[in-house]
Amino acid sequence: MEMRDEDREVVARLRDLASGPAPGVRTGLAEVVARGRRRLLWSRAGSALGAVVVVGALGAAAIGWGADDLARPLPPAGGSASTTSVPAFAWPRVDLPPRTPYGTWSPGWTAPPPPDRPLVTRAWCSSDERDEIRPFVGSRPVDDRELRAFMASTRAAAGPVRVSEPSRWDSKESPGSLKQPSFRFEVDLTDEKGTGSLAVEASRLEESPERAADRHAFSYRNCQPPHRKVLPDGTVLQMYEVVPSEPFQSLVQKAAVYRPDGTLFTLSLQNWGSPDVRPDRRTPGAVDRFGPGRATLPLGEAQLAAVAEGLARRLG
Amino acid sequence: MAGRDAEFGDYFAARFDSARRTAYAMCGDWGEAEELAQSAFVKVYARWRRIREDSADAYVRKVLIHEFLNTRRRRRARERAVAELPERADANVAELFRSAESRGPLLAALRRLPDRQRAVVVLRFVQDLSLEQVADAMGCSVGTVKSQASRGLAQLREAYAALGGEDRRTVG
Repeated sequence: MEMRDEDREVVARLRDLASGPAPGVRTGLAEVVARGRRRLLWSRAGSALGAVVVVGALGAAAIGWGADDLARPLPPAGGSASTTSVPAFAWPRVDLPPRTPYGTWSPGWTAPPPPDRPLVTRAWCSSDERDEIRPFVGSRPVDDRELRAFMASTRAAAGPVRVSEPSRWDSKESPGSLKQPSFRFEVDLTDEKGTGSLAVEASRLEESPERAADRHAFSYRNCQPPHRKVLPDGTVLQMYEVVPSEPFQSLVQKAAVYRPDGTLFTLSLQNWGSPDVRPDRRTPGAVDRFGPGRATLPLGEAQLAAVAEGLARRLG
Repeated sequence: MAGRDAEFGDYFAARFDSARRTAYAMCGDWGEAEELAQSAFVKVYARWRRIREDSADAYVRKVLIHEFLNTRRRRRARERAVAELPERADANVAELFRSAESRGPLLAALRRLPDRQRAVVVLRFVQDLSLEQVADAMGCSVGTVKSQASRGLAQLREAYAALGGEDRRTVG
């Protein structure tokens, strides 16, 4: 194919795009090999056994891995639930069958946790919904009234944990990304164990709260179904398990508020805060995560549940 | 398993970043590119013994393209179902392109190509593969690759110019 000069220019720039500066590789060989082995094992099981036997084995594996999860818990939250009036967390699990793990998460060798923290390995489950929820969450801004309700709920539930003023983070300020713009407010949560954070994002639903909550039940690669509480006005509150992530074996726990008016609020409790990020010099408007954060989440599960419920009740 | 792992480890160290960059050229997002490359290498590991050393690159390309196109297909299907204020949809797209325009006209121009065409353009022009190699990776005929590559490049040139790439080049 004969190429025009303008095409050569475009092609040269295309090549620059793929060979230019890039963020560091986060994927470690150990993670790929672990997932590959699991895949290989399943593939061999599928060849050697009949479909019925395989289904049985997968069920047993799911139970086994689930038990491993429980036997090797993630670090407990460092919040102060016992010193506040927040009741114990008692939402039941949603009545949905658990997912079968397809691999194991372990920290990447490029950004491991600090040496004094125990390494976490955790079963990962695939989620057909994951691709959907990531661009969806935070797709509309949180308005002033919603932000006030979030702040009031957080302060009420946090007890002695200090709550900072909210900071606004809009991903449309991140150059180079083709994801939809997204909007988020975040507060630092600080106590004697360090600083973590809590973020709130809003999105719009076009289905009933319960239906949406069911559809998103396994959106965070969780294998066990989430915990749920339904309020008298039809609001559905959903709480997910703590999930480790890159870098530094970071901890995140999600809670979601599905409102009957068609709004979804997603709360993300994180073990890092503003002291752990700095402006990314290469990408104006973006931040670079450099600090590992604290060892535990800044609030307990019951406190996060109280924030979610408080937000729903304050918005009426 | 040790010999297999050592051999695979060498291949991973040599090729993972290249696969990630190819994926980035197709999807335009480093996080997604990392996931695509990781999924491809997991599949490569599982079939490592059957993949002759000289065909490993070709297998990685096939898997990468397959993963990319599947992800896009699933996303499109969901985007139709995902709640999004209809009146905001156009504004979002416009904002997306405005944002891309100021930050990366080439990325925005690439984004405007249909997924398969974009994959062909990336393999043919960024990876500098032969028509036959691209056809093998895409699972289509050489003729299809020729026409897709030609049309894709023409659209890319026009879109790039329209988005200001030419102006930037002159100024810069």
